[in-house]
Amino acid sequence: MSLPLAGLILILIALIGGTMAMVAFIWAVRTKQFKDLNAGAYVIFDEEEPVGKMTDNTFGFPESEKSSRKGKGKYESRP
Amino acid sequence: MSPDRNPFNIEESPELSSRVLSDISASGPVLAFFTSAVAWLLVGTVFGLIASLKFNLPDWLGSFPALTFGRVRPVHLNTIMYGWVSLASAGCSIWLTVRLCRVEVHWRNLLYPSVFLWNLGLLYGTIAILIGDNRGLEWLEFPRGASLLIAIAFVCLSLSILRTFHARQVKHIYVSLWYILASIVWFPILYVIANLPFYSGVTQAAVNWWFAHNAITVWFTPIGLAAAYYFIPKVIGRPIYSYYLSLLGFWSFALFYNWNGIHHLVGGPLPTWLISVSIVASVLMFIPVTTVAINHHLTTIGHFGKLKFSPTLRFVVFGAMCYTAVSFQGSIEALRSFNEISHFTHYTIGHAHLGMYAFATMILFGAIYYIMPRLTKWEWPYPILIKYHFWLVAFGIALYVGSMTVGGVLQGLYMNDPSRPFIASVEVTKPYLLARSGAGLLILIGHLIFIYLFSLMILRRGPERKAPPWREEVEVVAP
Amino acid sequence: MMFIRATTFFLGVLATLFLGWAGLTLIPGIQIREVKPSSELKPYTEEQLRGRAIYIREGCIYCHSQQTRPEGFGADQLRNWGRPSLPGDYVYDKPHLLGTMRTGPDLFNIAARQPSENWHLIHLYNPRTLSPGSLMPPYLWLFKEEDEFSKEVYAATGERVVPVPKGFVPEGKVIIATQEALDLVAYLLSLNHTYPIKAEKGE
Repeated sequence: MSLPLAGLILILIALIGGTMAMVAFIWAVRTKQFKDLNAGAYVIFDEEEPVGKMTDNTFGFPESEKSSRKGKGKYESRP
Repeated sequence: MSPDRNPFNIEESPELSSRVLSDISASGPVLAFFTSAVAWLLVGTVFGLIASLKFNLPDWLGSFPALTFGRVRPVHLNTIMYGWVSLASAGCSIWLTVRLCRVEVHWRNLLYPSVFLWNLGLLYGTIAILIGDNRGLEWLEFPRGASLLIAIAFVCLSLSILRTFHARQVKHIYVSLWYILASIVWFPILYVIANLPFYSGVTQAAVNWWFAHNAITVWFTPIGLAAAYYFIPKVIGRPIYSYYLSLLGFWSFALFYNWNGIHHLVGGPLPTWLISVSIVASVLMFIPVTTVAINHHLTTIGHFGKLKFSPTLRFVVFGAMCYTAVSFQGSIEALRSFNEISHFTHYTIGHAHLGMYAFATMILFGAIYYIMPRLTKWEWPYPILIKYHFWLVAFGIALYVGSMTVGGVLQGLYMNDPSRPFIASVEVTKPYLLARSGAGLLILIGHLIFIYLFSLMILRRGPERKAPPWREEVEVVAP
Repeated sequence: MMFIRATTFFLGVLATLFLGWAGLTLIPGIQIREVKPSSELKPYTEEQLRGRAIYIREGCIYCHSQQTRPEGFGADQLRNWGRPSLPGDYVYDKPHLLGTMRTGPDLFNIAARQPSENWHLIHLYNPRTLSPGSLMPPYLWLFKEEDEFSKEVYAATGERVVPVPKGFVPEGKVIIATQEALDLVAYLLSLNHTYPIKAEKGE
């Protein structure tokens, strides 16, 4: 296969693929696939671990999240 | 809920128990994958240090065939790639999948054989290379038998994740899941095609480097990004900045990154159009990489203070920033004018470690630090050691990449200067190769600390530390 | 709807993989298949293939490349490493050994630059005897150490004594090349692609 022919096939593949992708995209927008897009970002939270709460405090808590309640034991951030 | 299904003794609430149940169901297989990963991390790190020292002392241990550089180096590469990084990524994918699908692990009985076969394949392949059975292709050195074992193990992983995904209880498929699902479908196909016996000559070189780069494209990078997309918002407590950007980032990533492979052969005996296509694709990577960077940065901005409190956030943010760095570097490296200097030098090695270590490995460390307590119901016993781990490897990899970058550029410049003898390009790298061994030592020590901590977690040893979410909030004792 | 969405996703994902595969390997492969090897490129002999297997076994590719870049692209041409290599030069290479590192020099035409068998034997025994500052490993297991006898003894047994410089060999010993060393050197001495090439179809 000569270079021009290989190039032609490649361009054709790219054009067909690109057109397919564009059609799919337009279809998706038309059928409102993207309507609730940003809602998806909240999937990682739940009632116990809601937005606004850090979920890893291995090294300790920021001032703002320190509890004023005393618990059963101490949470130390150094041995 | 019966007590043994509710070991944390937490009040029932539908979503909470789903999260806890997911963690419980995943714990067996994920711990098996993580333990294997950590074992191979030790093996890979030691072999890496030996390989580096061979550059400083070429005659050291010179009478042992199994320890010659040409065997130690591929053992390091394969045990790190298909061992540490792959096994940790596998464990991470399983856990992320159950969390994001809000179900339990399905087809769990495939995952234990997967761990077993994967380890067996790694062991077989490692011993093979050491005794001299190397297939001669970079990233594909293992005998076909070993590759077959790993391929079967991977397919078992894929089937379990796909079945779990099929049973999902969520309407929205989170961005991390796109990357995971893509990779577990992509990689087995890639691995099988690359290992077929039909190739020779320069076509085989094209297949070889299509494979090697695509292993990064379809397995190592997606899992790293999946983890970053989950842990950054999850630890901070804020959603990802823009889901639109994630979508654009994913598809442009999938489209462009698959065409990069031949940038490993710039200047080589292949059709010019082929090499140019890969260079163009490499530069186009600016698009997905920038969207990811913007997304992660704008999610974290204003909350960088939280890095002080979370080891996971430290490791993952470090890794995510290095993803941006290594990708931009790669785009530049593919350009002919730069490649002329950097090709064939230690610069490439520095780039590889910026990617596989500073990006992939650091993110996996962050993931393991988050996931382990939730599986073992045990908190990390000595947080100070986690800090030592972080700083040792952070400095270590910075020194590694810095020394190989500078040394590599000098090596390339000297090599391209015909007025200098070739040996001058070797001599100029020597101080940098020494620095690299120093970096390797720092990294080894960091890893020994990590392995120690990991072992304590598995065995539930060390002082018992109570921390949320298993206990009600307690008063913080100032450090 | 979810099924369609999920199916579209997986199809799209597979399409991106196969598009890349087709572009980077299938189409070039078809194009390159038509390349004929130059008549001066000979298939490897048995001995050279054994040597090639040793080259692979010892991981030589991790420090040596076998691809000479064109003029204006690095100093390959200025260092007389041989004319730019072409796909037709690699037809008998399975696996390919193009390499990606030059801790040591490119070897594609090493036989043209260094045709001496003894040089290669000594160099493999300990590179630093001939190349001070080299980082190449010594390949001691490709050689045997024996007590020093007279030249006539060795001539009779047919064993190949390697003339390693004094000071690098223990007192009273000589270094004998094993068959593996000779095979490896035979392979290295086959690496000569300086034959001129005719213009090829479609190039």
